[in-house]
Amino acid sequence: MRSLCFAVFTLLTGCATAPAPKPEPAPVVAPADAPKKPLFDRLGGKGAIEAVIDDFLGRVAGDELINSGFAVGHVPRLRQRLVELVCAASGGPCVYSGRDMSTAHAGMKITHAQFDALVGHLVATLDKFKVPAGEKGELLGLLGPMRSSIVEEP
Amino acid sequence: MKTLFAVVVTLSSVAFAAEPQWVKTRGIVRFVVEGPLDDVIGETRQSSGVLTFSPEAWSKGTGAIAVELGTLRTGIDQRDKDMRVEFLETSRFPRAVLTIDAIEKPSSPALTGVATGEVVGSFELHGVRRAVRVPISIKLDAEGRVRVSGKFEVPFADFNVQRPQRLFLKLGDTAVVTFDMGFEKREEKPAVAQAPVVIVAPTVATVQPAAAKPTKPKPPRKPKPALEYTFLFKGDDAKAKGEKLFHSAALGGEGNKMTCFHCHAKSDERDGILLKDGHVRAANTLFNAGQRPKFWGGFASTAGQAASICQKQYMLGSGLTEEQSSQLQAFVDAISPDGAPELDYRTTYRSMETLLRDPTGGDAAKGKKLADRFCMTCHLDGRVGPVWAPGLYEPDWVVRRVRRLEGHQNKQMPNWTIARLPDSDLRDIVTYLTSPASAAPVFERKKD
Repeated sequence: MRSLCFAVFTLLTGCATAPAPKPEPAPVVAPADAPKKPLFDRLGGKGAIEAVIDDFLGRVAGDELINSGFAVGHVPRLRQRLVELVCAASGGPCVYSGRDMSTAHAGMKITHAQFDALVGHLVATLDKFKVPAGEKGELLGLLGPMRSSIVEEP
Repeated sequence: MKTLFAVVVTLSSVAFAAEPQWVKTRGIVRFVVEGPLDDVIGETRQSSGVLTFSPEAWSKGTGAIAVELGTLRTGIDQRDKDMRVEFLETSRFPRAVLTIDAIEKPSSPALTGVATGEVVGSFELHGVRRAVRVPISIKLDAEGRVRVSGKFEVPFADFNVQRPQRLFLKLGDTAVVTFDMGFEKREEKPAVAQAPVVIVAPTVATVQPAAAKPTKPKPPRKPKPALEYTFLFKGDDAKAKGEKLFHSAALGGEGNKMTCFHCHAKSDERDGILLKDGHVRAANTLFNAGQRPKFWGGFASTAGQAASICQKQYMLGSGLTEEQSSQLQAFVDAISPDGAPELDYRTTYRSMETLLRDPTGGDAAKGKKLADRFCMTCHLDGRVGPVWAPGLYEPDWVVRRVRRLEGHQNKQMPNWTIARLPDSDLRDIVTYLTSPASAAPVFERKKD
């Protein structure tokens, strides 16, 4: 579970540290002439992000490959940080109050398999909420680059 | 070669004496100083040495070994520099010299292969010479080469070496020196053409009498407190096997020394959490835990799964087998006659949120007793690291590890909640652990 959280953190942090998102090309699903809103709004705002994180954490909790690290952590704080991370990364009005990905995951010996499992749960959650492919891609695109900061195997 | 190095010089430059001479051709000298997190290890190959003995009566041998202190390397340049300048003062005292006056307790009168004995002589460092006794082993090979190795302790205080304050902050007060050197017989001809053995006269004017000061008898070591338990179940069924697993460190991964019983009691804690063995466990008892609806705040739905999380997080493992899980489950079920609710994790989370206020404002004497109760379950016998080193740690660092605050980097240590280890008790323990006055016994305790 820790791995999962971390990955999510990573994703979010990546977003947070990036320059303020300028309007992206409209997602595939959006009409070509639609105004380009920040990803945060297209995802449905903070309430939607909280729902996504809750569902996601539920999946992580049930995955024995990754849940042990999360179980011994501070779960409510983790949830809060994840929400902040996704919110801030997607251009929402939040400040991420956690540590950077490398520091937060140091010494946890997270493997690629665990990272992949976590991403898999995030994808499943986004699918459950019927997040369009474009938005899903943007969000996952923020996660990928964090792999090297989180995973501790070659 | 009696006593003085100067004699070595003489012998090495003049060619002959009744006894054959052996000159150092290779070898390494190393020292280790204990530190709470990492030992500092330094070494050098820059040394010289001469032995004078005949294999037929090697215990009458004499000799000397000198080490160029400026060439010691510990792996960190700045640390090496500080060691030379502030600690060993190598510009004034460039060498350490071990002088061999005699060999006692030889394992055999003649040296034909491998033998052991005890060097009686003196060691000079930092301008101070002191009598020493050094157990050595010596080997004479078929080609006539000799290899000598030995180990002895150098208490800094005995040689007027300041216990380093800046660079070596938090290090021990003794260096353990080991050497392993090869010697070859000097040709029996005037040795003028040979590379001279670079050993200089002593840097101290007065030489202490060779009479060895009596070695201090070691204080008897306190017996290790055992974790007392008796098996509740006998036989060959799942619950009995589960109980064996509960007490087995083999349940964990490579290098694990912890068992379930180091963190969990198996008895009813309603009358108090102090067990008969004098310790308090960090986590809740497993007595009556079997019927909880879920475990680990919902991350595990059975006790067996919960055990698997513990094994991964605290026992260096990579997950239990299904058989192990079910046996542990059977054991927990067997000690759970009554129903129980799921645990409330608010206390746990609260404990992980804030550093202790005024962590060193407690009572160190009380803290020492409380440390026996709360910490020694796992730490006293060196079962887990870091080294148990009162007087040498930072208060917040200790609190961070005990409460498992952010950035704790615990590898195996579970969190002590404010319910099981109240702030006031933790404050006493931290006061004891971080008070410089507590530091003395540490290294005695760790020695053997």
